[in-house]
Amino acid sequence: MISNTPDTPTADGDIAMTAGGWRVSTLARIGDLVGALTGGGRSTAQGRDNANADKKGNEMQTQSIANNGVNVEALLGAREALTEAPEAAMFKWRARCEWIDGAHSRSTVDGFFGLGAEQRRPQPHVVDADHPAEFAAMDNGATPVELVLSALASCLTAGVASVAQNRGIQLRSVKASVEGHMDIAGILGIDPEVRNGFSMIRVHFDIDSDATADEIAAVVAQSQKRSAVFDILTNPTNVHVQVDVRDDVHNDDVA
Amino acid sequence: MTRISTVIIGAGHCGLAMSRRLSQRNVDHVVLERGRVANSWRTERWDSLRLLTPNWQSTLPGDPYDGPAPDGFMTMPELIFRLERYAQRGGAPVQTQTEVLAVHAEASGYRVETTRGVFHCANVVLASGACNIANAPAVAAEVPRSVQTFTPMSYKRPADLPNKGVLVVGASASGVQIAREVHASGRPVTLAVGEHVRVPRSYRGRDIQRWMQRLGLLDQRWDAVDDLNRVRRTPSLQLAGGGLWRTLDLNALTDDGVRIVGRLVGVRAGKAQFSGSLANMCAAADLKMNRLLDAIDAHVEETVLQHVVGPQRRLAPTRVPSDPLLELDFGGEAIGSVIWATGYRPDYSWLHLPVTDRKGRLRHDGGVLDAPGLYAMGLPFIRKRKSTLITGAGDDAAALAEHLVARSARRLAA
Ligand SMILES: Cc1cc2nc3c(=O)[nH]c(=O)nc-3n(C[C@H](O)[C@H](O)[C@H](O)COP(=O)(O)OP(=O)(O)OC[C@H]3O[C@@H](n4cnc5c(N)ncnc54)[C@H](O)[C@@H]3O)c2cc1C
Repeated sequence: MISNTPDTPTADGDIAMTAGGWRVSTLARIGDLVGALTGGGRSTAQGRDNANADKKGNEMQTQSIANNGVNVEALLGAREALTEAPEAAMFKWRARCEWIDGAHSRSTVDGFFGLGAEQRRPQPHVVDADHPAEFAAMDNGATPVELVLSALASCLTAGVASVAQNRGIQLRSVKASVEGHMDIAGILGIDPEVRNGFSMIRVHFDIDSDATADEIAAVVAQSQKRSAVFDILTNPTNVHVQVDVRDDVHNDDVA
Repeated sequence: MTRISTVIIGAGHCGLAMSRRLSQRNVDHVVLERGRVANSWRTERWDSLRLLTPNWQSTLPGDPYDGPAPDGFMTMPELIFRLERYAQRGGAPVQTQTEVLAVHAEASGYRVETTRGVFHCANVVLASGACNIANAPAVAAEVPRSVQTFTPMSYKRPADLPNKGVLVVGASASGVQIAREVHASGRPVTLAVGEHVRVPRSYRGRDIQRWMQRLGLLDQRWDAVDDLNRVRRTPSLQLAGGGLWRTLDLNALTDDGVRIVGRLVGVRAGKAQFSGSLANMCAAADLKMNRLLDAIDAHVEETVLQHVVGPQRRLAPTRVPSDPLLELDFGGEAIGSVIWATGYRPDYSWLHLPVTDRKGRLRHDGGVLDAPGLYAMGLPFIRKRKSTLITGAGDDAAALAEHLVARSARRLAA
């Protein structure tokens, strides 16, 4: 299965990687992929109608119907390979951030660890964050909380595309709008009872496709079920913060 | 020391069904049981439990239901009585009070060590149950000491719980049934809901199990499903026996006053934390339920049953609280106990053979293990969707007995 997948990067976000002697060429949206391959959908409903149907045939048929730019075959290959080599599924995602001025900072994302090795993109991605004028800041970028909302929207949207692809649903357009409610009495320290983070997040999807409303609802449900960012926001995570204090005098001593 | 062709481990319904199938094929065997026949049903269930499968369905090969209430649901004493009678009538060679301590491979087959001596045999059938251990998540260790913890195996009746609030974790069959009776006892229940399978008790005037059978879902084979791992992990149907035709879903529990919250994901500083994914869990369960009911409607159309069955009345969508609770303070809310209704798993700690995967699950192809003459029964979807039910044991035992006999014949010929 793995050797059948294309070796060169193709669709958006595809990355060619080698790990421990086996090769997975497309690992786009791996968090969403697992879900994309499970859950009842059109293709599985078909399978159910005809228990003896050739499953491979069904999948192929499914793929030829819809094209959302998701390489389902490669994702299936990745899933199979990672089931066999669970240690290759252990990833470390990273971002570096540097303070510029005031609330303005710049994050850079390039390398990550996965498939048993350090991986590096050809080009780093750079994201600026700041606060708007209402917070007496320079507005050099989105606020960090808006970046979180955008991460949620992107993750769910990517999930919708892959789940739909796997279920043979052709998407024409997918638009998500996300709104996070926040009482800033928390971050401003006005009221200790108020939490700093969002009190609630609302996502609205506007999807144009060839599927029924129920089928789309199921796709959206499945994309939440397998979304990393949805999980990050809905469930607690331990965060360990360490500090290296730079002291000029000490630095001189060392040097 | 005893030498015998086949050892069956466990005298639950699976072991008894296999014994019946082997007797029919003149295979010399013994059924080793650590307790008495139907031990799990005698010792590991709560008092009020009834089967969630109707009587007409809860049968073993050669023993159709002949009682007065085919659409009723058996209590534990009734089921135990029936299983004992089944063992007696079939002359099943059960050796009770004999616990298997270890199974090893040896040159000519297997060495089965028990509390009553050693058996040497060519074949072993693992019928020791799918539900030997109640799962509890890792966060269980963080629950404050002052809170008592139970599982559906240790829980027997509400009166055994402290007279305080109760957190029930898990909303599949065991969780919803226990939540209802505990709440009715006056102990306010909070129910943590993760992935679950919602179905109405009945639809269009027929029990849901009747439809599942009619649609061929129960007979679906392991080698004909799209994603076997997923179906094997699917939690039990949110169903209860008793209260004829009564649906026990989250809406019914909400009506009772049970508080519905998201999946339990953490316990920190004396507080339970719940996932914010409750709405999606419920939406997904509603969608799946309606897909099943759509399939039933389609079947009714195809087979022109419209005039025989009832109207297409669907359950209302699950009512999710607008702001589900995300945190529960065990102390502040006076929670006296937690019940982990988070599923069960089998115990094969005595099975010293390289037949499990890295998560300790048996590797098998339709109950045929990767070791000659070794078979397993009773696990979810081991051969068919109904394998997990009492009604599934007959077919599975027949198929595996057939395999066992064919293999023995080949061995003799060789
Ligand atoms: C709460 C609950 C409700 C259920 N409700 C239903 C229902 O409504 N309808 C239905 O069809 N099914 C129901 N199921 C049962 C399910 O069908 C069975 O658990 C499953 O199919 C396994 O059956 P079994 O005969 O293999 O296991 P069991 O009935 O558990 O039998 C296994 C036997 O093996 C013995 N054993 C285990 N280890 C050893 C050892 N080392 N040495 C010797 N003996 C050993 C045990 O004592 C036990 O008697 C329910 C299960 C549970 C837990």
